[in-house]
Amino acid sequence: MPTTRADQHRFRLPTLTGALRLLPWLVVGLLIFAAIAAPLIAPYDPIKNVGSPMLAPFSPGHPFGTDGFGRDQFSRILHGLGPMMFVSVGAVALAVAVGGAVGLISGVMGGWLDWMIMRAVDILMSFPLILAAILVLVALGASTFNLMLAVAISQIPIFARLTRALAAGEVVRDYVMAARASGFGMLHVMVSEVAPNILRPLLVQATSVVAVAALTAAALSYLGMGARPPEPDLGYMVKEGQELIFIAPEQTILPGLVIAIFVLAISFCGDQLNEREGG
Amino acid sequence: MGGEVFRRLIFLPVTLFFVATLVFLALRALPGSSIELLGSQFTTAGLKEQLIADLGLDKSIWEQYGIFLGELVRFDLGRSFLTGKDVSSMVGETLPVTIELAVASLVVMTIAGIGMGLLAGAFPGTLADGLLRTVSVLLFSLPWFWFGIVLIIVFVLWLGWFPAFGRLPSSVDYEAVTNFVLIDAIILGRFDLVVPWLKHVTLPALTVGLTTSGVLMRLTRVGVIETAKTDYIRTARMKGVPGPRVFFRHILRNVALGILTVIGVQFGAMLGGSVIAEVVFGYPGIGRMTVDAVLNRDYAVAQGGAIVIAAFYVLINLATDLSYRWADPRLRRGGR
Amino acid sequence: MNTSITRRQFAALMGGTTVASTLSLPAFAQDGKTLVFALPGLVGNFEPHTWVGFGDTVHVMDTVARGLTHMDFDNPLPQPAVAESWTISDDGTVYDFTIRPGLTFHDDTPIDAAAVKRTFDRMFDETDPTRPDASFAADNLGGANVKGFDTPDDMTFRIMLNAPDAAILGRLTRPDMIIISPTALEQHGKEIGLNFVSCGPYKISSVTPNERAVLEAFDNFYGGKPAIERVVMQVIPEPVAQMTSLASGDLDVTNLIPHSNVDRLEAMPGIRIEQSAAFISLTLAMNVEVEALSNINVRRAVSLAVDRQAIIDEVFFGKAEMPGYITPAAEQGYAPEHMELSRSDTEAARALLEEAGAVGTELTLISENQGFWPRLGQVVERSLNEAGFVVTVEYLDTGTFNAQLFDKTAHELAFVQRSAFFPDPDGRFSPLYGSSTSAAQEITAQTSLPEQAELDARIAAANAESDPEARGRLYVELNTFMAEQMMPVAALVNTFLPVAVSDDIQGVNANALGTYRTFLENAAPAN
Repeated sequence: MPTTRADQHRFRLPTLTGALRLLPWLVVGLLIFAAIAAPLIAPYDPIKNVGSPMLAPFSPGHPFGTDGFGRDQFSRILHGLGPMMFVSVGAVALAVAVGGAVGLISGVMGGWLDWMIMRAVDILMSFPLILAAILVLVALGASTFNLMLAVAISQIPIFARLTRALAAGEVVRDYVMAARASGFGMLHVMVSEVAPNILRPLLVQATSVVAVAALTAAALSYLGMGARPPEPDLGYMVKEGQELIFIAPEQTILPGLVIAIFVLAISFCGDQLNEREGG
Repeated sequence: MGGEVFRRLIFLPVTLFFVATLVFLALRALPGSSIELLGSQFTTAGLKEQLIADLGLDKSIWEQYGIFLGELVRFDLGRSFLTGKDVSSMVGETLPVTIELAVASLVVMTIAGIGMGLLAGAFPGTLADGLLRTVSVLLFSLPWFWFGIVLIIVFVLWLGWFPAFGRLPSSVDYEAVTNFVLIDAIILGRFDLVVPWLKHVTLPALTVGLTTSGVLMRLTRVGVIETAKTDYIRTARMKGVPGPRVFFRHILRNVALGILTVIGVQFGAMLGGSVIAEVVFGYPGIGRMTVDAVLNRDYAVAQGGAIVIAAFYVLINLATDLSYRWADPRLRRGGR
Repeated sequence: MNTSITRRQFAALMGGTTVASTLSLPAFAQDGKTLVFALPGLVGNFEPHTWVGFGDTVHVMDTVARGLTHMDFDNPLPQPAVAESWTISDDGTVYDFTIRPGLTFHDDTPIDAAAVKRTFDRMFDETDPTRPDASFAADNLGGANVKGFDTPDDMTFRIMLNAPDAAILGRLTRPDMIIISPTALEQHGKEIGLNFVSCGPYKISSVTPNERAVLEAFDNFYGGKPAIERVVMQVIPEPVAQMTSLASGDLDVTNLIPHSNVDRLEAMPGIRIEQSAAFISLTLAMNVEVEALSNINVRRAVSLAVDRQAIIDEVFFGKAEMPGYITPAAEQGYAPEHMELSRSDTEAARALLEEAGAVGTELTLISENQGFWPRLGQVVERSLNEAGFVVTVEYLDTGTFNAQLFDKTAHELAFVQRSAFFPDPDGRFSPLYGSSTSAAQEITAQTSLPEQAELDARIAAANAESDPEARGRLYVELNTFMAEQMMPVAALVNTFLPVAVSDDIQGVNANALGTYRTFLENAAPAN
């Protein structure tokens, strides 16, 4: 009968898929560890020519070979992880903070203010995002921090709209009505009543957006608008390596692969959080 | 419904006004102007001042803004500082390229997304489902520019199946009419353009289409699973309607609405966002034109590009909403 | 077709797989009748009197248009073109050009002195209704030094100068000094760039902006009809696409490939790299009004600190050469002893810095963020820091870079590239270091140096000397004077654009292509 099949299911799935479900978290953990420990575990200085020939092939001394300046590619990729995470996580955090605040005000206050804010968000959304980011980077100059800012700015309208939708859903609930009826001010309603209740779904969404932010940042670096050389930056390494595809294709393939692995792991983590939130 | 459409159409010029103002001010806030690029060495005294006056950059910023808006309401996007060309004609050259690429990418996205979604949704919980879901996330995770380069290495360098760049091979002589190759092929009766064009568009369309197919895949998959649970499908099955027919007649029709929305949203996003694919594959689209213009401080071109992209974005979203309403009988009857 | 497959197999082998497809595209360019050339961009506006971009203003222009004289880059002196000969007045201020008889423009309009004068009048007359906005071509002919033009008879065109200018014949070989059909100019006015008609070896057949220009051989070209009937100038801006299309046989001639790939492409069957002279000089400009750089010994230390061998190896992969000072070895005005002026010696640099009490001097270097510039920036930063400077490099987009470059309050060190549109020694000096130029006023700010007056006098004297040998000697001295007394720039290296040519084509002017100029009239099928 069906019960036995369901029991079998329950018995088998947790072990197999459970392990698989753990994998993305492990990968993210490993990458974070590698990023933090990069100065300790990287065999060489990522910026200095290590006295090896340019474009040396893979070897035990240089697991990923050397780049066009004779720098150790493995060390450069390790040191490039930190900036990638700083930019993508930092940008989303900033976008959640600013977009969240704007969306919260819009959703809770309602009325003409809500209408104005949402129309402003509509206008910003119709502005090509990558162009907005490029304008910011050209104005501020290329650096890792400015790259983070540029990506954040391009994500703010998305979070404003999302937060507004979540907040508007909460405002009509009984507990908010009760709070307002008991004479609490709007600020109190926003910060103490609505915000805590929408924080969870917002953060779950934010996890998924980290993946998008990492890709956007990498694309801007590829266009030469991110980190300033010789600082290691994975997107810029793809750009630097691409003219060498005849000679040393790994120069462009490896850094891109690392970006893809990070984004993949983050996306799976975000999915799992989403599923738990939804179900 | 008519009222809503009207309201949004009215709002279009307002949106464009703000986008135009934003980009106008942002460009002027950037360091430098195209003057330095135009004449890198000035050996005659006063030449720089003459160039500045020629381009109207000696006027105050508000005067320039007034002129810009005045031209804009007459649908005049001005003239490129650097190339002396009419911005409208430059948009006419580059916009079709981007739309062409976006449409080709949408075709890839739709086939890949719906295909994977239907397959995964038909066998939920199986190994195939898990695999397909992983693939869809994987495709999403690939950086566009990198995926494009990898496709070039594999399909151009190693296999030699496709050309690496551009829209048509250099052997083809072709005087553009609309600059949409397929439409021109029909107008001019030049059907020899079709196959070379397809070969050229394949890799960029795969790059953009596959990396964006994930959303559609999930949507289709969930839609299939949800619809399969509903009463009328069960009823249909009990009545003995054969599987595939139920699948296509009922399930697909119900998923179609969501798919339509995703396609619309992606289309809008691709117009501005395909810059990267345009750079990697040497596609002369409007995104690339606009970014280059920003970097060269070619104000009129950058403004024109941003305004046109924004206008298309708004119009496509409107069209998506309209088709959504049209396709969804419940909405058409005013809700249920 | 055969070469194409071998090349692709070769590429496949290099890629680490032996899969070479039989499905490869047919190679179109191998029939000997079509030559495919790579462009960095194409706007589709061939207005000669404004700068539109390298694609329009140089590559296409050089192929479809011609002026009174022509620089073939093999002879050091300009050769006859539309003018078959010329005479120069004794005081060097009046040039009479005899127009070659029987020539026509691509639209069959005959070329005579009046037609030539029409083009030059347009350049100089600000009230000419056909003149484009923001035109500065007149400046490239000599600006205020040009007194006027005349036509003593139907086939003689006269240029009158205020002061002698030995470079004028060279200036006339510039791509913006070409002759426009007066008929077309009459018809199209300001829109001439979109409907361009001149008298070069090829005429325009069709133009698709951003994609390609198709050109056809012109029967009535003064040098005879070119051997290759059709030239396709195809826009291929990205290096990856350039190299793959070279390998697949879809591209015949290009000067856009990165230096890093020269050896690899040379090893490919069916492709050769033509050796060209190093006409492109790269310099590190020093803003002498910046406190730290106001001391000439600090500027000398900068020059000594630059590791030029590292630049040659790591930035240009061996495809560059050590510089003299301003004049490259390929041009008149160079002498081997100039090599000593741009010596690299870290120890000597450090000693000079210590003597000046300037160890640890902080300097900012501005660089463009594309092409080979970021690589150059990294090597220069490294080598200056080794000598005791503390250098940070700002990598800027084109617009910001140019804005800061031409503003002496906005930069300290900056990269400047100079190529030779025509290899005349004056072109290396007066447009960059004469005190009336914005380069001298804003990039190096050297106009504030007391030696500038003497430099101006020496530049004027050298350019007024009509005897080529004596003139060459004056430029040799000029290099030494500027390096020893002023040192407003440090010479980095001299290089060239690597020119890759399909084995199916011969006779491509590689020296010209190595410095952007594009003369394809002598190209011919190889067999």
